Order: sequence, then C-alpha cells, then structure tokens
Amino acid sequence: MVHVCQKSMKPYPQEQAFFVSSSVVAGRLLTVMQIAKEISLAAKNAKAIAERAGEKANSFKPITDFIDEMGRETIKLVEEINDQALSVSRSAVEELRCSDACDRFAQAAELLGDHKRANSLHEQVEHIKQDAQSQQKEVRKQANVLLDLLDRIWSCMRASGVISTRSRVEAVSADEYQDSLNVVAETIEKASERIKAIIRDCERTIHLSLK
Amino acid sequence: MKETIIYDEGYQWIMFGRDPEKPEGIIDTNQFMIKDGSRSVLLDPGGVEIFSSMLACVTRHADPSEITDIFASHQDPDIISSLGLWDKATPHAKLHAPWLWEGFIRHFGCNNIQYCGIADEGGEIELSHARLQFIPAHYLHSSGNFNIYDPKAKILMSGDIGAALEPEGAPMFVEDFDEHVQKMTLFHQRWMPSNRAKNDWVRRVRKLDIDIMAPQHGRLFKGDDVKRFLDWFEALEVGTGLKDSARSYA
Ligand SMILES: [Fe+2]
Ligand SMILES: [Fe+2]
Repeated sequence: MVHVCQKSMKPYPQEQAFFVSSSVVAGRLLTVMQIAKEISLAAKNAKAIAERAGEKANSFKPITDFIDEMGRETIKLVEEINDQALSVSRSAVEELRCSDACDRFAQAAELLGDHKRANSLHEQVEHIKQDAQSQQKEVRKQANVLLDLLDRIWSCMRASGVISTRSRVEAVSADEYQDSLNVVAETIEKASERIKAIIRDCERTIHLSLK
Repeated sequence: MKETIIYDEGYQWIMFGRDPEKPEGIIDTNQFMIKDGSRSVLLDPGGVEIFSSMLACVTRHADPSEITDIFASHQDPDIISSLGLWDKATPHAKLHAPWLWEGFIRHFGCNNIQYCGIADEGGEIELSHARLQFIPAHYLHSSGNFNIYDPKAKILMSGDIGAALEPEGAPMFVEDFDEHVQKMTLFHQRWMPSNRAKNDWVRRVRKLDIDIMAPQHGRLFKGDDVKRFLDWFEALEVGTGLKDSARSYA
C-alpha cells in the first residue's frame, strides 16, 4: 500500500514563531516585487504615451519619472527587506536554539538534584540564558529595522496615491490621450492598493509573532 | 536513565540507557562514556530527545568541561542529533566521526566543537590510560561507519552491529543467545546492506580479543556470546529484509 498523507492543508496560524513569520514575510514580498515591476512597466507605458502626446502631455512627463522612480525604489526596498527578513529569521532560529538548550540544561540540572555538580549546570544555564537574551535583543533590533523598511514601502505607496490623482488631473488636458493616461493612473492606483494590503498583512504578522 | 559500569580498572566504561523518561516512539539507545582521569569520552551520545537525561547522567561522573572527546559511529539522528546541544555544553571538545559525513553531521549544529574526520582506514585516540581504536565498519549499516575497540578493556563498541529491538526495560546482557537471535534477525537483514562488508568485518573482528561487544541498541554480548554472535552474523544473509510486497513499485 502506498502511504498517503491524509492531513488537510491548514491555514497559517495567527501567531507564528518569529523565525517562521519573518520567512513568511520574505515570501509574501515576492508578490510585492511582481507588482512593483508592473508599476515600472506602467511608468514606461505612460512615458511612451506622453512622448506621443507631445506638448499636450507636457505636464504629465515629470509624473512618469516619479512613477518610474517609485517602482524602482519599491523593488530596491523589497530586496533589502528580503535580506533583512532572512537575517532576522536566522537570529530568531539561534534564539530558539539557545532557549531550547536552556530548557534542556535546566531539566538536566533538575535531574541531578543536589549532586555537587548541579551547580556547574546551573552556571551553564545562566550563560546560555545570557546568550538567549542577547539573541532576543538582536532579533527585536532587526525586527524593528524590518518594520522600518516595510514602513518605507508604505510611504512610497502613499505617494503613489497622490501621483495617480495628479495623473488624472493632468490627463484631462491631454485630449485624445486622456483615456490611455487614465488607464495608467488606474493601474498604479490598484497596484499600490495591493501592495499596501500585503504590507499591512506583513506588519500584522510580525507584530503578532513579536508579542 | 539507567547506568551500568561495564569496566572499572584504572578507568571506567559506563553505559547509559533504558531511559524510562524518553518520549514515546523513540528507539531505545545505549550511550557510553569512558572516564579516564581528567579526560572523558562520549560514544554515540544520542538524539536531542534524550539529551537532558544524558547530560544529567554524564555530569554525575564528570564536569562537562572534562568531556574532551565525542565519538559518532555514523550520521544517524539516534547517534548524534544532540550535537547542537553538546556544542553548547562541551564547546572545547573534539568530535571524532567519519570524514564522509562531516558536511551532513554539521547540519545538527557544530559551531564550537572541532570536527575531526576519521579516515576510511580508521585511527585511534589516546587518553590517560586507554587507547581507543576506530575500527572500520563501513556499510554496517552506514556507508561511513566505525566501531570503537579498547584492547585493554577488551570492549568492542559495535554501533548498530548486534543491535536488537527489545521491549522496554530489557536486561543489559544477553542471557540466552538462541532466544536473542529472533530480536536481531530482521534488524540485520533490513539495515545491513552488504554481505561482502559484513564478512570482511567478521574476519577482522575475529582477530580482536573481545570480552564485551556493546551495540548501540539492545543487550550487550559477553564472553562466549561474542563468538556466537560472529558465527551467527557470518552465516546470515543481509540486505534481504524487504517483503515481496515492498518491491511491487520498483
Ligand atoms: Fe544507525
Ligand atoms: Fe542506531
């Protein structure tokens, strides 16, 4: 008989160990990367349209540069966050190893009772506890850096809201190019909403597991 | 975890095992410690799940800082998955393990302990009084595998060779060899892949003077039972432990 795993797929629990959640964040950010690439593509489209529209879309041109810049900045930030998420996950694994070692050493010390060498184990427990605490501090520090980076993406996306509103205003004076430019504005708007939703989700995941 | 001193003349061989506290579903293992003056060696210290019991047992005999060497016969988790924890308990120790498995065993965590790869042909380490030989036992069952032989104590720690699947709380030594055979047969047929490697090992081990053969699972063999085991093992065809039904997808 072939063994078939009957377990159904379970959704991620709300609170995960931090080394898991930071990796999950890194995974979700791959989607953000995809969307940011869509933004960059939209910027290139907008540039091409503005080129064709000539003077009619003069005031639109600087906006396309903004959009392009924003897409590239987002991609760069995602790459940074990826590295950061991996390094914080590694520290969190080390913290977990230390606290696991702590528990197991403490258990051994308990088994020894009042044996003369129990003290030496207690001393080791203290050492490892210190290691675990400094790892924990490191994890918190790195998690804050991670949250800051997420915040920077969030700011980028907020700026994109302003840009798409301005795009719509400028599109009005672009006559026959109005519809195309409106499509660009809409693409950016939707893309940034999707990114914001993911970022919000990532922040919630991190906060929950840091509790 | 129970402990039994199996040799005590100038230095000690101590066996730990039959742990009633170990979590369910985990194969029972025998761990060994050689305490020789200010130096102590752990042989196949076991898995993560029995680490606390092991550390407590070991500490009764020596301070963790006195564990200078650890030996891993091969890479299996029941042998050495506790390495990441010993790495914190005995950061200055050396780990003697098959060179072949270095990149694999390091996955258990080996940041402080120094990995000393044992060459295929074997080697030895010298303690204060004891001199331990690494006896090649490749393909029995692991492709990079060693036993430990102590010529002075006349003990062969044979790893998975001679292992038996026993109910909990089995006695420490084989009492009736013929009856014991049924607990070893399937284990050796299934886990040992090579008749050639087996026969070569039997030929070499017959030349050693052995009072006690101490496997990593089940009971130890003493006196004439060592020779009985070698005869039995030589006659056994290994690499045969699969039922026909298990071949149907090949
Ligand atoms: Fe094994
Ligand atoms: Fe084993």
